[in-house]
Amino acid sequence: MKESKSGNPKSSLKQLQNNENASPFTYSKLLDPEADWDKDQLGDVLHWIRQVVGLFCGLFCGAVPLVGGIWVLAFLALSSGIIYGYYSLILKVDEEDFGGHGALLQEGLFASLTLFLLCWILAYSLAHF
Amino acid sequence: MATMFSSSKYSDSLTVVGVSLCSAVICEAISWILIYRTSSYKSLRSSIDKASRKLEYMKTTTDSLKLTTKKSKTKKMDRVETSLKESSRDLFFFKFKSGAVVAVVLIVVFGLLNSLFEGKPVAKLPFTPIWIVKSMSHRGLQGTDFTDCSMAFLYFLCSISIRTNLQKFLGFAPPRGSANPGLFPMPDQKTNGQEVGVVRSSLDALVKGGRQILVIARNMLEVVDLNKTRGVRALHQLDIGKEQMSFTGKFCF
Repeated sequence: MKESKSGNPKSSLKQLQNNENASPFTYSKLLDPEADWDKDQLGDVLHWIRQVVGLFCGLFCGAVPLVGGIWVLAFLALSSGIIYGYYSLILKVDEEDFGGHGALLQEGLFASLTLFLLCWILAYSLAHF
Repeated sequence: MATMFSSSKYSDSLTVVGVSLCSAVICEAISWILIYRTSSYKSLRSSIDKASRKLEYMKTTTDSLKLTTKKSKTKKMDRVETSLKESSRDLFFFKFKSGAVVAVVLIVVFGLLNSLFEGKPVAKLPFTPIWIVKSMSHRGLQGTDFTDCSMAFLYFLCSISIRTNLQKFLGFAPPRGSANPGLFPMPDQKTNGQEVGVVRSSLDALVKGGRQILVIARNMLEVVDLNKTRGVRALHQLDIGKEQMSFTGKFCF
């Protein structure tokens, strides 16, 4: 269970001070629930995770092939679920310190959707025609 | 594998992706030369980052303060927010001027691709697009098979995905703290009664002025109509006078 830091101004202040002095990015931070995250660092990590998910899902859907607009909605749900699970369960960050669930879930959303569509269309067109 | 892709019916899609990738790299290079390496951009960006962090810090610490200290803190926050918006606007205009060059490059590339692939489907969509997307995805294509993909839609997808990620990778993405004010920034939606009153009275003045203009315009049209009628009558009387003169002339001579 993550520690509930929201609603406590002192802990939010501390988090902001931590953001100022956040440790530089290392790959070991990606799976460390105790790591201090800067808002920009966390946003960038979530962005790139979405892009990787979009790339692999697009290639997979095109290769099988999966046909129909429903898979766009499935991708959106899957990628959002992965992002939510990552920052909530693995990193255990308090979303209030980073602008709320909306701010974290929308990082890289549109770019990943276009990347998913691009990979899906290319894989489907080149592999099956 | 390369021969397999080149022999595919839709191998032109790879050409579109390749051209899009090259144009994205060229555009970012142009942006770096004109925008990102300049000291003005770097100073604007750092001031936006500092102001947004300061604002977040002040917002968090305001809640726990006494009422009198809170008021002065709120004023300071307003000042920081105003300076953040001004910096964001300056950044927007700075990038806008140099962005015109990038826009020309993109238009030329799009025109080139359009001339190469107009009327020809470059890919097959694995879904039937919704009506909003259909006009772009089936642009310039014949027939009613809406799963045929035109160059425009594929180029659009390439542009968004490749350029966004390239900017992110190179560190040229816009700072998160800047609120893009656009060309016409909206006024702050504050709950201060005085400011709301000033806005309301300005709107009332505008509406009154507009009504007065309409009344004046109507009066002017009436005058024009009246003069028109008078003019017509004057012409008619002139005609009558002419007839009389010609009759008198005939009678005399």
